Amino acid sequence: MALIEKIRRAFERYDLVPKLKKSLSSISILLTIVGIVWILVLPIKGQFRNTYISENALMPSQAYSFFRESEWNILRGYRSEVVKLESLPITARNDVLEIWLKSLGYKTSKHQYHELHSNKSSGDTGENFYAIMHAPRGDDTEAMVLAAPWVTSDGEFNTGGISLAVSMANYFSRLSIWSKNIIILIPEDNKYALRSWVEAYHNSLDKTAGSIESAIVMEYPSDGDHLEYIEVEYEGLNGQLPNLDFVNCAVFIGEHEGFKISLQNTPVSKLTSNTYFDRLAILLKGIKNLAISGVRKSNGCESFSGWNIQSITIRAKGVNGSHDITKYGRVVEALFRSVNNLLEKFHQSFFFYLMLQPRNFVSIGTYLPSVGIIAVGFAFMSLNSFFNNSFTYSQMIGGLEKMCITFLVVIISSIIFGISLLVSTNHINYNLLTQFLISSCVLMSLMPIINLQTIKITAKPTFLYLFQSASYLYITMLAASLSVVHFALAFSIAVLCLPLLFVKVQQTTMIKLQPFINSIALLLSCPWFSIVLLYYSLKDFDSMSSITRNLLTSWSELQSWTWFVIIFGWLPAWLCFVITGSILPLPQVEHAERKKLPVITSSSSIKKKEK
Amino acid sequence: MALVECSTYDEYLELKPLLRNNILSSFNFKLTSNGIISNRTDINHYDIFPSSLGPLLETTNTQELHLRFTQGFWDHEIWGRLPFDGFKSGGTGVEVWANMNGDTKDEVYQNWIILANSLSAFFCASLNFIDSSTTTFPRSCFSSNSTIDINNNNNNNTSYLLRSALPREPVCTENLTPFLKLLPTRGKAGISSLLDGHKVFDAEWNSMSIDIIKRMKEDQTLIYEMDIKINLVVNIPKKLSKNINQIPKPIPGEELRCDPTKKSDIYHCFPLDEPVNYEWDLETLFGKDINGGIYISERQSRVCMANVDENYWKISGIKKKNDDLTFLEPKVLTDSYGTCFELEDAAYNYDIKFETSDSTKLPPMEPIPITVSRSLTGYSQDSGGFRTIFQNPSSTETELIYFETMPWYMRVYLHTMELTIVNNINKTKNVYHIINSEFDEKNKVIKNVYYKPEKDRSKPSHLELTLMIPADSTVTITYQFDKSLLLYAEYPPDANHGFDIDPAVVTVLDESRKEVYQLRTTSLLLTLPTPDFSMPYNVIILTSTIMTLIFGALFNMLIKRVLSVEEYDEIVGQSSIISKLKTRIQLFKKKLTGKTD
Amino acid sequence: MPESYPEFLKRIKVFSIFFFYSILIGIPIWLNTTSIEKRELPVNKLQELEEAFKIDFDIPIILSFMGTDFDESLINETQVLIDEELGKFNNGGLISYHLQLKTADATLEEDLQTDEHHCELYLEKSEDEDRVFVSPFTKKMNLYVSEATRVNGNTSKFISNFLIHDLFKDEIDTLLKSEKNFEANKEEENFTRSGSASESGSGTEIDDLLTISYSPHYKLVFNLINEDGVKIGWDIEHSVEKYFKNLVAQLDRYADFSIDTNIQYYCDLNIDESGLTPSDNEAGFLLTNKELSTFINYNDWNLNNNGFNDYSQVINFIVYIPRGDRPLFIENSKSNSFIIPKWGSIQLLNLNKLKKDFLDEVDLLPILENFSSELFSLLGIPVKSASKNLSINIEFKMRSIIVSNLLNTFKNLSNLVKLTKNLKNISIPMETLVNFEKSLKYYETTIEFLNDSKFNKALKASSLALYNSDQAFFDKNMIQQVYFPDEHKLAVYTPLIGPILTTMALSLIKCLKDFRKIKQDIHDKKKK
Repeated sequence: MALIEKIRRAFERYDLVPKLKKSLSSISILLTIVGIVWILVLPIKGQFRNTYISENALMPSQAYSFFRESEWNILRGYRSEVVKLESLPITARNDVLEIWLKSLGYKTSKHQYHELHSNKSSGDTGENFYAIMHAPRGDDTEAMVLAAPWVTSDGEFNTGGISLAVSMANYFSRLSIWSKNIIILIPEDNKYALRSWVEAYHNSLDKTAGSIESAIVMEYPSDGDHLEYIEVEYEGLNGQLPNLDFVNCAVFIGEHEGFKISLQNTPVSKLTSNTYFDRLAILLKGIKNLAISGVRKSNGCESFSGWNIQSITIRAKGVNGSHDITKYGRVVEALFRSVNNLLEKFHQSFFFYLMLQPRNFVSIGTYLPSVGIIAVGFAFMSLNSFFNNSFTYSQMIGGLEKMCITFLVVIISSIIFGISLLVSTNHINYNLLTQFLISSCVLMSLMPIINLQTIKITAKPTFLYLFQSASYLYITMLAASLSVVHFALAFSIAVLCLPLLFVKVQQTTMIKLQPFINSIALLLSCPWFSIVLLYYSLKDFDSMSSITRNLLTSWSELQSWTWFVIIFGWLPAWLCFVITGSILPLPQVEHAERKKLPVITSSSSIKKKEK
Repeated sequence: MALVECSTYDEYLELKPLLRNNILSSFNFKLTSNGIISNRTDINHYDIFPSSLGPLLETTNTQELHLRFTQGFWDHEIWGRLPFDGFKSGGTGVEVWANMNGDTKDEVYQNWIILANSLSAFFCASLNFIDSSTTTFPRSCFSSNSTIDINNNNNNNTSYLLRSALPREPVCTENLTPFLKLLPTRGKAGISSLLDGHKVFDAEWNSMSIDIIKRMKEDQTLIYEMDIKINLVVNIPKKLSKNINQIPKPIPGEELRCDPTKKSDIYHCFPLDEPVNYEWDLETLFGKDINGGIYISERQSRVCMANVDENYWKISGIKKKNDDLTFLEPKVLTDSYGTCFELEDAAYNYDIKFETSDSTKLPPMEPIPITVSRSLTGYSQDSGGFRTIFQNPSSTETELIYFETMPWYMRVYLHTMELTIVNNINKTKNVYHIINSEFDEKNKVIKNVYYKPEKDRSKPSHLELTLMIPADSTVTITYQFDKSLLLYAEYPPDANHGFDIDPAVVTVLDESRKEVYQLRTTSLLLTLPTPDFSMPYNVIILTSTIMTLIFGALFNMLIKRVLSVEEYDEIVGQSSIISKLKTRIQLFKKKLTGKTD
Repeated sequence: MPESYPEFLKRIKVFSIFFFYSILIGIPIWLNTTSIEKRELPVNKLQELEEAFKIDFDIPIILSFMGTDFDESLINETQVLIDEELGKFNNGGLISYHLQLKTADATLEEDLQTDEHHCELYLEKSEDEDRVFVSPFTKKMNLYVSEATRVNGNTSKFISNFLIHDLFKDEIDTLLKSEKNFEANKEEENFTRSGSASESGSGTEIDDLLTISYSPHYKLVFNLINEDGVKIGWDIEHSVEKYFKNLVAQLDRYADFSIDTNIQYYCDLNIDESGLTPSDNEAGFLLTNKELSTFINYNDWNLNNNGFNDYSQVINFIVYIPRGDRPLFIENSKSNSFIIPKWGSIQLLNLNKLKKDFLDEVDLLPILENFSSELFSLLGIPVKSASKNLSINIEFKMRSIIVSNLLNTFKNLSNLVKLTKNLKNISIPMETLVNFEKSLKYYETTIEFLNDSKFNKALKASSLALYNSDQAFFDKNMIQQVYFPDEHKLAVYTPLIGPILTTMALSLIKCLKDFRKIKQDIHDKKKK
């Protein structure tokens, strides 16, 4: 208390308050820069940590795995049959699988589900096939899932994956080490079909095998015998990640088997090098992928997130490498054994982290501050737009009610807009929608100029300032609150909103350049503009419309709430800035004299004069 | 009084082949005690009946004692009905219920605790963890099957049925040895000499049961009847391969059995189904053969094989001493099914050989009256749901009693109970909510509900439903519960494993409301919000620091004087040394000048 | 400018409120919520009793004269002699010991309750020297006084000598010894968990190692144990009826006995066949002490049958039948039996001689004879002592047990008190307190019973006192685990308490300073 007292007095002594007030905007910009630099610093040596297995029970690849030799023949045998299935309809395929797995003693079952958004040929009902092996002598309370979708995330027929899954089922049934049940799951695709199965498992399925501890999605489209390296995907939905121990296990085992591990689809050329930029690339890609998980093309494992299931996708890459397919199988087997060893659920290691390399990571404590700092930057900006103008405190507050009302109106309208889109996802022409969104984005971004030239809408300057400061504050809150649950999204939105720092209330006295700055800033930080960015930055979308589609459907399909974040947070904030940036302030009649300084400071200043 | 020589002993082993090359072997031991005298002045004689149990039952005034040690998952699809219609096999882990006499509930409960502790010492099981928070007083599910009317037997005190289960208990070798020690042969001779811990618990499914019943004979003497059963399902191919080598090496290429119809060459091999022709004997199953017959019992101990098709099955009994082998001739006995071999000579070792050309040729599986599966729903840390599915394959409606007990940290909300009835033939589906009025008129599925809510830290919740499952249809019952927080000390050492929920018990009744079949669901794993156990110190320190900060701020604000800057500076000025000096000097000057004002 | 007085008062008020809440409410609550359960043991009462501790035995001896030529005066003389002989007891020691001589006619029937440990002397003349005849069954003793003694008037001396140096000798020694021991124990400052019932027993018998500690309930288990599985029966029913029932009846006052019998099969020995030395005289093998020490296969044979109430002792009698083809003999023991101290007795019975699968009374007779004698040595009741009379010996035993029980009770309780005094953060739960009080209560009742010489009741009460004292001492809740030891408590809570107290202390000082200043100012103002 006393300390604070001293500080306050010091401030008064040297008149810091006014100085600070003047430099608020520059401070905020500085802070944002710091925030970004923070992230860029992480990949520097010494800032990150090496991964380690903190759960002792896992004991990755301690046991010698026997999925080799003649198992390969069996695998090939199955594959030669699986290849034939490609032409058949889904139900027919499942029937075949059912026969195979029944003969192995599995409890097979099928799960019918209804397509929410019937965009595919197979009609609007789908069928997932799954088979349960109840662990002999086990207490039948826990299960591990081995999933191999018929279609990989790249839309190819998952020949290798399926046949591997079946042959491993065959192999597993002969082992007597299992303490947890094993579920072999063959969903139709690895997005909604898989998700709907997971949901049904926890709500409506008749045949269940206890709580699922872990899930591994296998993808190996080719029908070849070899592969170059394996890729591990781990992003879940809504910022959730599998326990770091699980990912580490996968990496450890993979490397133990002699594979190169690729994270964030690092190309094979980069796998050996471990420079600053490699790490940075993986880090940034990680953030991006996590932020848009559910929107981007699904990798399978995210379908399991939400039920406290640790899930990863292990994808075989390349068809003519030195490694053979059983090795890939052995990785999965070893992972299963590790999880099977567990006596408790995954709880030892981190649940929030960012990978830099298969063996390097940073934990939440290290990276969370960056977004915090950026948020503070916005907060300072809102102070700036509140104080640094020619109006007294009371004058500013005067426009409060009006401001609040307009603010609410903006938010609510944007929510209504968003929700109405959401409910009518099945009847939307996404191409039209996308075009509309982008064009509207451009149009509104041009508003400052247009308004200045032609329409000339005006409002009280106090209102505008207040409104702007409020909207900065809104972004702050958005970023801060979101960062706790979903760092990646919070960070990306914050960064994309940075241009808004340069949007200023137009003033007759100002330079003519301001409107253009405003428009550019608005354009850059528009939510819809980011769709364009996505489309051009990463190649894996066939069209922009598909992005919008995913944005809208990801809620109903995967319960990913990215869309809500946009329509509750980002869009309204942006609209607010459109308003503040474009509406012209009424020219003031007479300038109010400057606000009086507090009594104490005045007195102290007087004292100074005396000296 | 005259000694009542009525102690008897009888043992026999029944073998029953199951589909997919499994074999169910059930060991049966029946013991009866001599007449027992309750008052301690007279003499109690034990010979067959273990003298270690008798006094315990007497002191705790136990009329019936039932113990179940079960492990594994009973695969009814392939194995069919449970042995002895499920009345001799419990759920996963350990289960115990007893019928005890006493004047008051408390007295009985005290005895129950004594009983549990003594049993835990005896069976090396953690039965001593049984306390009021796991004990229930079942009403209709475990009907007492003793013949004596206890109220008459010893007057003016009533009998209570207490039940408790420990699903977490891992059943293992330590538990088998006590079982054998109860036998007069103590696993040294007769069929019990087959029982070796490692082999028994290597089985796919195993269940050990003890039922002790106090019974009044015609001549008005009280005796104990003890029935020990050990059932295990062994998978023969697995066993055979295990006997060859422990580690599951891949099959050598030349031994692969490939499907010729599919693509099959030196690279490809589409595996065939399991072979159906096998050859094994007791030694393959149990690692040793029977160590001679016994003389204690008046009946020979015997091994019986269920009736199978002679064309595909060949069963032969061998008796051997050193190296001379003689074949036993099978007998057909009135009281036990199939062909039996009697072990009449203690000096010989006995073994049974099995050969089958088609192991799938088995007598048709008698249908199971009902299948029940239970699972947890929802994923949040603070609440969840139960979902129990009853499937009635038969074309007659089935009545059953559903008994379920849940630990106190599950706050069950019965009003959320929902009932879904799906007819499997004409796929009609209707959902009922338990508390809406037309429920009762509309359908008669739930005939009776008995519910005893939980009490924190002292009582589990106890639910008994009497259900009438319509003909070939599926009934699903769901209800919601909240998870309550535990105290720091109440978490088990492996809290992150989750908390096991007792298996539910389902007793199927026939038209005359007689119990015809009993089965148990698998136990469930409930995850509760679990603290990080490295924390408490930090928590205490952190919270107290925060409290102090608040306190300090508040205190200072209230206690300090409020001054303006000038005042402050003034005071500081006065207090500072220099100013003091100044004043001194001024005073001094004044003195010198001698001015006064 | 200084602060005005009312302002200052306000501050003081605020401060005092804070003070009140934190010191007078906060700290007590904190202490209370973080303290461990400590019940108040009735230490004073224990001390009182300990000071007042005095057992006095008062044993009536009914003297009746056969023939006329003894007069009443003899009684008084003898009494005097006895009293001075027993003087060493009654000089303020713990135990006082009286032998009350009474005349037969003086003693009315109701005085002789069943449980009163009286004994009857019959004086007769004898023509030749002095003789004493003690009947083995009743408590009647005939003293034949010779002419010479009578003339020299040494009759009284003779009687007292008989009583003190013969009849009650053992007991007197025993009591004296135990008294000494207790004094010694009181000196040494050990509160180790010694002196509990387990080793108390008959504290100071010579064959202490052999005897099973006393308990009000004994359970005799007769085991017929076969090495192999040959069916066998025995007529234990009638044999026990014959040979043990009356024994048990006689011991009834001492403790109550329950009898179980048990047959077991396939109880093989854990001794290596090869190491056995063949017996010389007959076909078979000798068991040396080495084998005997590991004779019983505790974890294989079902012998763990104690009678589920904590204070009941099991005495095992085992008839072991070796395999027919391998008879066993115990080295230099003609009875072919041996005793296991504090546990029971074992009898080897080779059936190869008597080819039968049923043991009738004839076979069992010698065995049970043997067992009956060993029962006494296991119970520690002297049969070999000067007076062959069983019931008197039992009474000896009872009295000495009473003494040792009471002494051990005190030992336990005082040790418990010491323990709680020395270990600060040991908790004293309710159960301990309850047992403590119970045991004291029983102690008092014991004393009462002794005073109106109801020895049997006294015995029961004393053993209960001991039992409860043990319960109190061995209460497992006393060592309940606390999350951090008591001395760390302050350390853990320093972040809370430290700052608060310091701030308040400082401000208190500040206030006082200001107060002085204000007083100063007011004073100055007055001056002006």
